[in-house]
Amino acid sequence: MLYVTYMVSEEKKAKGVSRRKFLAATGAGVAGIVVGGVVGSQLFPKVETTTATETATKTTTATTTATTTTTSLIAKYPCPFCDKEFSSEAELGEHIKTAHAELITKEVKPPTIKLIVNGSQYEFKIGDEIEPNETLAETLRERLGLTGTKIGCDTGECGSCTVIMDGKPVLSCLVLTIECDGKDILTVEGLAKDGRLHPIQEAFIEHHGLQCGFCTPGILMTTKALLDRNRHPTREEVREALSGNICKCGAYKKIIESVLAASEKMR
Amino acid sequence: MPEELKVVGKPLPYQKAPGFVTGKAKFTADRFLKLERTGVLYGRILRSPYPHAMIRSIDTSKAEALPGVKAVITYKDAPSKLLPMECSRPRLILDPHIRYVGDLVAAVAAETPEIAEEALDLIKVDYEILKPVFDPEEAAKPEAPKLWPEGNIVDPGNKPYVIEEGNIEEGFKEADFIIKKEFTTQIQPHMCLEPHAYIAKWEEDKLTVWASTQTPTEIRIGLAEAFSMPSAKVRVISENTGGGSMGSKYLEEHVGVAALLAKKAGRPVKLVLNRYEVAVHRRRYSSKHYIKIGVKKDGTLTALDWKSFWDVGAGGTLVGGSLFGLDVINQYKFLNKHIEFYDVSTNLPTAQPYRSVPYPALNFALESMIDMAAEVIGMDPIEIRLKNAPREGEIVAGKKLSTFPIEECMKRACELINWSDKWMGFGKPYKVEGSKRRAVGVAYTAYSTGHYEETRGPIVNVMVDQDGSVYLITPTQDMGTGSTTTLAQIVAEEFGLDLKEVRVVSEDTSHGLIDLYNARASRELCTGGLAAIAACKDAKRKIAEIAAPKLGVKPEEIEVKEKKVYVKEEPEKAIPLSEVLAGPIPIVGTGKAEPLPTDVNSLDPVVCIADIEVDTKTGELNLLKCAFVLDAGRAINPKIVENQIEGGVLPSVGLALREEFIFDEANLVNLGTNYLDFKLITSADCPEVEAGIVESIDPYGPYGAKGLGEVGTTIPHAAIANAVYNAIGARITSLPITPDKILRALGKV
Repeated sequence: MLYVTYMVSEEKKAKGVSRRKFLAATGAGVAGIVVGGVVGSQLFPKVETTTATETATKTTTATTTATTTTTSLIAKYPCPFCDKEFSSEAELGEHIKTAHAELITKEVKPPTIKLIVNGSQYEFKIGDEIEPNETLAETLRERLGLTGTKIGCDTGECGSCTVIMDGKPVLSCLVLTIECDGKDILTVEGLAKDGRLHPIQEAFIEHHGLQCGFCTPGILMTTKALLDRNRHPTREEVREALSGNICKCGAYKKIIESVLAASEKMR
Repeated sequence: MPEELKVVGKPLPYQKAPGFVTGKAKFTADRFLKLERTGVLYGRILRSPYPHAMIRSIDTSKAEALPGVKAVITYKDAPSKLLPMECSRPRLILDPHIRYVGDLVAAVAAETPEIAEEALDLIKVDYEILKPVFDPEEAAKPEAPKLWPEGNIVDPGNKPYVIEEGNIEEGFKEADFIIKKEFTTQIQPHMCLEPHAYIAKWEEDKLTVWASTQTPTEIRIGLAEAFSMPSAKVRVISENTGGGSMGSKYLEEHVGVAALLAKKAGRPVKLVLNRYEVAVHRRRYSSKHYIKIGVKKDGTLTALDWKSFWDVGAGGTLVGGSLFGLDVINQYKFLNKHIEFYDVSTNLPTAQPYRSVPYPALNFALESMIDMAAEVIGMDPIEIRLKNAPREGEIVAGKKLSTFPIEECMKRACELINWSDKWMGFGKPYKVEGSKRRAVGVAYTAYSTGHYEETRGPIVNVMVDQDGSVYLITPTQDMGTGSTTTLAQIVAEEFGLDLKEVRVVSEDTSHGLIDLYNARASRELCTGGLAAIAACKDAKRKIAEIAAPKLGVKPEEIEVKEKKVYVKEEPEKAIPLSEVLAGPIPIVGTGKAEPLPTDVNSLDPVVCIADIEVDTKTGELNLLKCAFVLDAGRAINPKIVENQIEGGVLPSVGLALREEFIFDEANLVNLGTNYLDFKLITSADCPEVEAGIVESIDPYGPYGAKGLGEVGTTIPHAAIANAVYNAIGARITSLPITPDKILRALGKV
């Protein structure tokens, strides 16, 4: 899976493929493999980019040949075990089953993902309840209604989507949900306990550490992760920790004061 | 005015903060989620790869045939009526005339964003490529390619904005010294953090739009006009707006696109712009200045001759010097003036007001010139400014100036930065250590306070419930400025209540109230506050009329405060408000702001001093500290004032140091369209901003307050530029002041 993620960023840089489109293709490929029962191999489709005018014709061809899903456009599916290429994951799956039957293990990974979010357990069926190309930010927002996690750039530049996963702050717009099986996730909605605000939340209210409020959830989660690993950071450490969280209103001075005040409150 | 204020003037927390810190506050994109199964479709936009073209034909048949696609729209589907945008040119929702790379060509609504995006690739467009023009000076020439039939100069009559006062030639004859210089400023996109988001839903002939906007009223009236329907049938819901970054979220094409897609598809449509789209959607102008001033040895400014060209892009209007450039020019008493400002259309993204509109460019040029004049005559930079700045009661632009404590602002700024220890003279750093030099620089301006003589401000209602709690129902829009809180503070003060007993209702135009300006031009506090006070008085008058018979006095003798009603002279004989309002019907008062008298001018004096360090080896420029002092009139909430200053300074610092959008003319690519290429100031490198607040108590403002939302962005870059001169002895006349420019100025490259 890591390899796929790596490919996403490289492909995007090199050829200007939209991330969503690439993920649509790769995600579909991964799901196909899981369904096909090949475990442990790293399959990913080759995405071909074309200029805007050429795309139209290519896409049309792909549409006519693709068997089922609409997510497999503009991609070819090379077999990892021989060099043959296929135009859909279904064909590739069929090919692997017949031509490389010896490689198929009996262990089939269930096409479900388990998440623990703010202490509650969730289970999603891939392709049914979540899309294979879905980011964690989208799952949190669209499937669980946890819209406190914001999407500001959707490309890992602004920090608005920061959540805490297994104790570490991550950009949930850069993580695929299917990568998060078994992970423990904390979002801004999970900060307050039993109707009582977390000291970080109190400090940001008292010290005016916000303006429009859009970056606030991401900044609170970065702050939480910082104070969890360093209960009493210096001003410089706070500035450094928050440098990946953009506040376009520019409330940084009061944000930094809020973090330091929260650190005091938690003393 | 009450003698002792209990709520106004207190640094109370933002009313909206609990919603933000818990993640409960809803922004537009947080509505119509997949789990809600609303049947919403997702909109995507096809954008032009050419800067100037005419669409000959569009074939959408393949896109329409793609399973999951529910609507495709092109200019053929757009209503023939223009979308009446007030801060950019009114335009069609989709127009066959393409005017910049990224201009809207067509749009799709589909079951998933992926399908919508794939459908875009299936749309075949035949463009007639037209010759583009990118330079505003070139575009102003008669032979330039025309973006608009009437010509590229935006100002009325296709002529520049001209001001003539006195006799410019005589003015230069009187001068002891004449200084001439050219300046340029760069394009700065707004880059607000929350992407523009709209959800449109039609129910029969009624349209509801969820919008992330600064101007719900403008959207409501504008959509009604474009779709030829009564504005009562358009409802705009805008719960929270994640920053407009000061002017990018007005009525604009995309809200029209969402409405049109939803109409054609017969289902609700959600349209959320991506980061690139946000960046190329609207931006600040770029500008070029040719400026000449005359000065006498005693510091008298005898003449100002200023010609400038402002690139306002594809659909920009008077967002360059022509908007309120005059205010900047009037911050000094020039005896003779000739001003010639050209706001010109070019084949670049549309320019729209960006926090403090023309001030950054004008002040960069003017404040540099004032420093140069001072140096030539051997005068202190503070002294020349104080000598030429207007004072309270003087006539500025034909009107009497209200409070204007320029001396106090200047003094405070000097104290905050320790000016007397750091000012060494022009071109002289106060500290040299190896290749590093430190120096200070000053800039000043006079900013309009958001209170004008016209009456386009909000109409607000104040509703008093039986239990005495008060609701402020207002069409004003809080996009992060804190106006919800400051307006509530004003209402709480009027009724003698705690802040928590006043609730502000503003997120839905169903209340029927209008505000023709909304969150623009630093107006919300001033005009909203005056309207709120008027509404409170109206509600109190109505309560007094009910209470008068019970108390046996005339209504005028009655006061309503702290949930009690009493005769003014006998507060001890008060009766509870709940007894007076015994019926189930709450009392509603209505109010509108008194316009500023036509013979009064209301301005904020503003001073910024920058303390900087330049590394002459690397050319690196670092802002160490920035003192920023303004006249708040009265700080309704001092913490909010500070936050507005500290945040407002940052785009100006970015303008000075590095923020820049570039159009690559050779490859037809927009550059600087994401947060990696477009380098904002972050928490790691934001300067230490020392905010100073002077309170002059403006007799025309609510509780004496002046609007100040935009002020922070007016001058810090000008102070930085002046400080750079004092550090290295060379003047940089083009923003941003990047290391290469510093090294070139030092003759090192």
